[in-house]
Amino acid sequence: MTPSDTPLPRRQFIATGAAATLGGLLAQAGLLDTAQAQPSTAQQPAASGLAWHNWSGLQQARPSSLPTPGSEAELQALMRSTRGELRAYGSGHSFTALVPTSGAIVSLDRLSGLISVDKQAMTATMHAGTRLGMLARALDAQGLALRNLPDVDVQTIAGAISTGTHGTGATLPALHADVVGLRIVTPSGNVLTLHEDKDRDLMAAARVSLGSLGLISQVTMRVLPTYNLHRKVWLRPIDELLKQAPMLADQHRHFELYYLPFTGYGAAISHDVYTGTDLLLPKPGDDEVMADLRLLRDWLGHFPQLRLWAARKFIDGSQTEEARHRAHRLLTSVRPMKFNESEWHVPRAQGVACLRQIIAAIERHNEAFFPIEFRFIKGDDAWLSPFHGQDRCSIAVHAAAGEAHDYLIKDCAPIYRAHQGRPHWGKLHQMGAAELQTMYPRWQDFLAVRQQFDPQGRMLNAHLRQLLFKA
Amino acid sequence: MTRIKHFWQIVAGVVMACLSACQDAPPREPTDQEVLRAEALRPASPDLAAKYERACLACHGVRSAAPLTGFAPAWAPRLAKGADVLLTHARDGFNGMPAKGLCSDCTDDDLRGLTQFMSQSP
Repeated sequence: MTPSDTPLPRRQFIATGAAATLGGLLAQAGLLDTAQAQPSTAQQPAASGLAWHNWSGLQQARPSSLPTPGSEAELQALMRSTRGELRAYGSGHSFTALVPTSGAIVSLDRLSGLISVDKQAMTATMHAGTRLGMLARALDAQGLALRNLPDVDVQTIAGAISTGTHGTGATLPALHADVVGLRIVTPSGNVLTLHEDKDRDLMAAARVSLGSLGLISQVTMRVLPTYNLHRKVWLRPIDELLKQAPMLADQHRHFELYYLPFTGYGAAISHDVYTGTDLLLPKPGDDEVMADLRLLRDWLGHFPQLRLWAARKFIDGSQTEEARHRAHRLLTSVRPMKFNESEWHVPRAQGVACLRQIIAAIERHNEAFFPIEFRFIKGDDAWLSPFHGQDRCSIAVHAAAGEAHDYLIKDCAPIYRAHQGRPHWGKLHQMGAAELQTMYPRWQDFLAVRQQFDPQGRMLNAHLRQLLFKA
Repeated sequence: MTRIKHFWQIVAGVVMACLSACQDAPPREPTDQEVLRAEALRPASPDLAAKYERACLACHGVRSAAPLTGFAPAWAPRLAKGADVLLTHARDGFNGMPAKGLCSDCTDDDLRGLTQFMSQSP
């Protein structure tokens, strides 16, 4: 809310909340604790007039209106009183053009908060614009928690589920799989109440809908009793980690790894349920590693062998780091350095092989420095879920906002596709209906439901029309 | 071979020297207790408290690169820039902070009030 108005000299973004601990390890190792960060060059919004841009600044729009409805009734009134395209946004954390429209861009900010909990059914109902971090804190106050969280918690629950947002954990599905009920304001202004017990097909369509069915007003989720996690982080040569990764994913509730480009090293991060009382928050300064990796890139980027040598010389593979606290305090982090990202999800059996090829592709670009993320997600049955019908591994590549990122898409997409990958709906990709319909067996079923909800196509912008219809 | 190795050692030494030179003195980091205290702080005004809780708290109430609520060492260099600069950064976004700080319905007065709340010691 308030300004981070001093250039952040000691803190920079880490690829995920859990990976935020990498900074501590590298800092202890000696070389990587003295970086001078560079402020983001992301584009600033217009000083006046109606303008919208996403978090990274890549997607921009000049909408006809920017309403901020504060109730379901106001959502209905909005639907009934406006004409033309209408798109909702939560936090603007999608890098694809899911939101931009010349029509209305609807903020969910005022539709926020926990509405009720049912400790018999172990469910919680919340307004659609509730941010994940706020939701986690509100649930915690009730002795409850979500089963898993993604690595960023400013997303709204509606935005997160609608784009197939996920955390990591071989036995843990993406957030939308824990949705048991939805209230949706349809483009006609009516409220539709869905529950998985009685609306199986509609729920399969609505769990991940890209905001194409209407405006979600409320979400009911399965919840667990609150729990603590124990985080462990360790650095190893990437070949060693890649051999162990499938086993580690089976051993830990949450497992993920990050390859640090041009270092030969990866960081493994595990989280398991912890019942001890000696709690410890993640260490301060943990998120400095990105600035350090960027500095190595800036100074030695033209000399990949020297960059590799310098990194290997100063990374101490024997270092580990730990934290023990509430799940939501460990699984997520704030990202102070803006970036653009592409992420695909490949069948788990092909995950490691695909990652090896992605690493090779990224390391053909000396400008790369962001860690490459590798995570595990359990399959589910939502029709447009990237994890539909199959456990998958996600592989994500990033570039700092303001830096070239085309190569993330062009060089990596053929590799992902060769491994039967599906793109993350909110991360950069160039797939259209022709490709996507071959990836999703219930594609036509989803289109039929969408047509039923929104025959006039008011919830579709140019990007959605390309995704859903254009060859 | 020896010459190459020697060259790399020199380069590494230069890198280390420059890294050291670039190091600035960071402000004191908040303790776990200060972070957990910040998570519990709220503005006195119910309206501002609601906006704070659904927006600002996400970054300023946890350990992150954003200045921590109620933690004076992090706010001192920001406050030195003046209230107008802080308002501009809050409204337009700055570094990792999104424009209006995730509060699309916040007015300039809200942003001023929230900044004042977060930057004051409890």
